[in-house]
Amino acid sequence: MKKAILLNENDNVATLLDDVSTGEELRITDVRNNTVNVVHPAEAIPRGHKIALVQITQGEDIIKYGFVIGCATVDIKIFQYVHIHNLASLRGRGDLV
Amino acid sequence: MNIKMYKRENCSYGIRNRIAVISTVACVNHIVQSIAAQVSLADAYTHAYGCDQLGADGELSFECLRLMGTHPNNGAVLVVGLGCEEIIPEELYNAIKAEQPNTEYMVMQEVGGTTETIEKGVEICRHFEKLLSGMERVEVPVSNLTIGLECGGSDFTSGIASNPSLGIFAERLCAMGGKIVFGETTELMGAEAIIKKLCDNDQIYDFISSRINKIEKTAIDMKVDLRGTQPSAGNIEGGLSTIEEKSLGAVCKIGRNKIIDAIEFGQRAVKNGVTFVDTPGNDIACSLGLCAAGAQLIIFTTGRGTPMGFAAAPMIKVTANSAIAGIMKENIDIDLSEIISGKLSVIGGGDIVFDKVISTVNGHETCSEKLGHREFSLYRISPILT
Repeated sequence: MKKAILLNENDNVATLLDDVSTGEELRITDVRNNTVNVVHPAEAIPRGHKIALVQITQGEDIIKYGFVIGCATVDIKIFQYVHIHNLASLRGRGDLV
Repeated sequence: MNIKMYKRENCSYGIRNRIAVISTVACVNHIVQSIAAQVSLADAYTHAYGCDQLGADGELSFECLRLMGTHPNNGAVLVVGLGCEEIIPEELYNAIKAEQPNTEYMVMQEVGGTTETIEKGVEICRHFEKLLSGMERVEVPVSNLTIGLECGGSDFTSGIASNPSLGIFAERLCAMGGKIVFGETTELMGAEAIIKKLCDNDQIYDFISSRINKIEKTAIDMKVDLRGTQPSAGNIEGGLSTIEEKSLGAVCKIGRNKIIDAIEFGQRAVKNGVTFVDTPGNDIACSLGLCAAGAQLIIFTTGRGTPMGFAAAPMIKVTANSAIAGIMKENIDIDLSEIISGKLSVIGGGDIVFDKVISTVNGHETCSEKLGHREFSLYRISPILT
């Protein structure tokens, strides 16, 4: 089965260790390789990229490694693909000035 | 645990015994490269500068070249200058010779044309080769090691597998009394909460956070979005969406060690444990900063793959990206992709790194050394004004 890794129990995203297609079975594991959940991605996601584990509202923090890595720029549905199209950095944003 | 190193006159210890052929100015780069190409023990330290440099920028370049000349991996030095540049060859020679007696210099405008200058340089280096061939390593404790930790071409595997493995290694080396140096200041932006916990005192945290904030302020003053350079397009393609995400993965490489000191670019690390060096994220500039701080070896994690080495120190390349470990296997020393597939633990990865460091220290060449990658550059801190 395809795998994704949840790096910290407080994270709301997991990182894909394999490419996945829409609806494919995906095992979410923790850092000790224990299964946390089996889910079905809402869309295709490439290896190394992220999947939302919960519904995330626009403006809400995205958490990975137990820390904020940015915020959602739009509402993100559960098991959707999370990357630069819907996740924005909060740092070094001279473009917003 | 003991290892075998070369003892230098200034009481530092090196893991290689090389000849540094150093350009004082870009104009003589071809001369320096041609000399080094004919002498197997020699490395060319060429760069685009040495002239038209003012104030602190010029001073930093001089100091970095001095630190390369006195680097413990070098057993002999030849300074090559033109004769009208701002980094004065005789001054650099004197500064290096104060710590490294096997130092010579030549000024092209006093020697002759290209052919004659190259010939004279090769002759000097042949004499150095004879000197160095007689040198023996001595047995010393592992605590004499200063190891630089760096990441480049990062992707999602860096923060999950390769950097955490380096963290395990770093914890082990520090427990044995060794030094770790790391930098890439921009790539700590977003990881301040972790950094704060690891800093031994407020002064160190203030130093680091002020340097991070300075970079952020520069981006804001320039009205640019840091994304696209930090993270780079390659990082983004590799799964890293923001600098925060990249930084949280990058900081794993120092493990849970306390950061016991923080120094400027061009300063030497003096305390056992982890020292932060204020370097850019740019790979060659960072390597210079870490070697200037005294790193005898650099461990470099990469997700996207990079062949680069560095003139002053061997570089061990680590990846956990199985595709790159295959495509660029000629350039990769350690493949930790089994951590991603679940067959290897991060602790196991750390042990593999440790063993590789010891064998490299004792003389085993890294891939980048075998392939002749000895990149070098200086680090400019002001624009070219003249």
